[in-house]
Amino acid sequence: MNIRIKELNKYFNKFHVLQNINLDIRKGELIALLGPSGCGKTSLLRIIAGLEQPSSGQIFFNEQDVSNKDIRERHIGYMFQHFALFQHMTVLDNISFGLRMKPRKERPSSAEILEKAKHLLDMVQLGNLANRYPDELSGGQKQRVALARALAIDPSVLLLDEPFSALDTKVRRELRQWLSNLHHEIQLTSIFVTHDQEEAMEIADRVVIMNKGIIEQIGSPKEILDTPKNDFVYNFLGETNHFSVGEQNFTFRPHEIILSIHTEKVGYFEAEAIDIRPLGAVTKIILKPKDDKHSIEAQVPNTTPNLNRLNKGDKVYFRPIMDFEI
Amino acid sequence: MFTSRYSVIPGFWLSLGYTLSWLSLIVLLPLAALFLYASHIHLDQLIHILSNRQLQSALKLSLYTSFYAALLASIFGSFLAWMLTRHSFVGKKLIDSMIDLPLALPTAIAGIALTTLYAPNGLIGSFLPFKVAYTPLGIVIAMVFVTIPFTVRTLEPIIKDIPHSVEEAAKTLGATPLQTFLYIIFPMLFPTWLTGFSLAMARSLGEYGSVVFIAANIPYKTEILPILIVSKLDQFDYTGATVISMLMLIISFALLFAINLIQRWIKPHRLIWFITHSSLPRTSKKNSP
Repeated sequence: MNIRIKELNKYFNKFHVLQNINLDIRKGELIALLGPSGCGKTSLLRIIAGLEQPSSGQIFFNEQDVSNKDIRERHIGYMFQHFALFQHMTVLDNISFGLRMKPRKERPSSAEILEKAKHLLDMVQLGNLANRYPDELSGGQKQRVALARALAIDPSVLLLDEPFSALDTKVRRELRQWLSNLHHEIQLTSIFVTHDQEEAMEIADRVVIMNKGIIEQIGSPKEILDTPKNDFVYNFLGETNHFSVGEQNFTFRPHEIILSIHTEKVGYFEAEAIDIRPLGAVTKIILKPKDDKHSIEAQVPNTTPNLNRLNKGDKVYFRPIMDFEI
Repeated sequence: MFTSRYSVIPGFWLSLGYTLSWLSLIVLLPLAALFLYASHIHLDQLIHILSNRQLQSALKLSLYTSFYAALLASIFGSFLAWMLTRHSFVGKKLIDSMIDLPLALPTAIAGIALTTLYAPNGLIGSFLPFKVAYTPLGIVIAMVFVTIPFTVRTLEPIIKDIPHSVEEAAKTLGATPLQTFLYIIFPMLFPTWLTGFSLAMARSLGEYGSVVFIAANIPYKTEILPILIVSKLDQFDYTGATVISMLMLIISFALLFAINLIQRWIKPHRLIWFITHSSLPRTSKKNSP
């Protein structure tokens, strides 16, 4: 299903949370709503779901205006940030809840419901935990139950509110990949909210970057990284170094740097290495430029020649590779 | 039997001893005295007192008025608790503090006020087509008045604990408000609701001050047990009063104990099992662990 959002505005009292939002989402896309906290991304997701009413504007599902439709008529699958599982029901009952709540004439038979719930359980790889209660599950398992529960009603769109934020780093990485694969498998239009740019870049087809209630940029991860529309987008997408010498200003990412321990090369600036941190594949070096009071973060591959000859306090010369002039 | 884990409050044995001595002095000792006094009574005397018809009708009245009062109080109480925790409105703080007033107000004053209102010529009573004051209904109203705080205050923390997102989740899954209440809210609240109910019922059984005014205390009609005890005392029938007190104690204890047992058994998931199996297609054969 494709989704179109047209001139959407939302006020909370006097606070203009969403300002004139226009957004087209194509069928089968995985979209990330990315932005700092308070940028309105969760409000937008809740409005698409029907949990919140917009102050003005329209939402179309497949060219059909659903702005005034009740949440139950929109057939959406929604996964809550802390999963909101029903604590007093087993995993199986949680998953089959949506099917069992259907009006009598639409409701599948008990056997069909059971079969469907079992199928979903297998899909989320929890087949052996059908009779557990939510408080007996780990965070990652809860997340998958919540996902299976949302998918049980065959939603036309899947909405995920910070789907990975309640999990620890390792589980988060695994599930991220798993969700991405699942999305490829079932081709369901999906929108997820996140404040983690890495997460958005890793699994989304397109990323919508939001800030203070407006959309700053929409594009594929590559487009957004290669051609950030403005300072906000550029700064938000990763660590940024600002360096100025005389009239020249440089803005660059930590990895967009060449270091040298040899003196007096053209285009290089002098600095002192005030901290060196090996992080595995890359080594992080904090530089204190001679001509600027702000320190610079450099990330170089740990295979860089002569890197282990560099010590804290040594003189280093650096050159920004790609400059984004302001 | 006694286990002591590391705790920020030191002196487990000291505090246990302290607690037990105070409990004995304030609660157990008077009760023991009652039992001691009652033990002097002969069996045939006991049977004679207990088989008294006035006593039996007072017992019946006491039981059913306090049951209905507890039921009403815990239903109104749930609405009030829900309103106070889930909604904000003008005057909420005021209502919140007013709920505890029946605990502070001398119950006799509540009784007099209610009687004045509900008497056949009173402010409310004169508009009602049926009698309230001087009937069992009046007794129930007085009991509801004094027990409402118990039901509201027991439910409030539990309602606060149910995250709003759980209700929203049910909504996104297509559940109607009624279904959300039946399958989600009700099973989560019911065990606590039962606590409120039993507290209210226990308090109603022992209520004297407010009922004595509104009931008119007509034997066989509107005389409840506590009033009967006091009238026995007025007639210097200490033995009779003691026996009835013992009876009340035993009944109250049995009631509270029974409700406690039910509560142990009724867990939200059992309730959902019950509701599901009575009206919906089942999914899992083994719903309760």
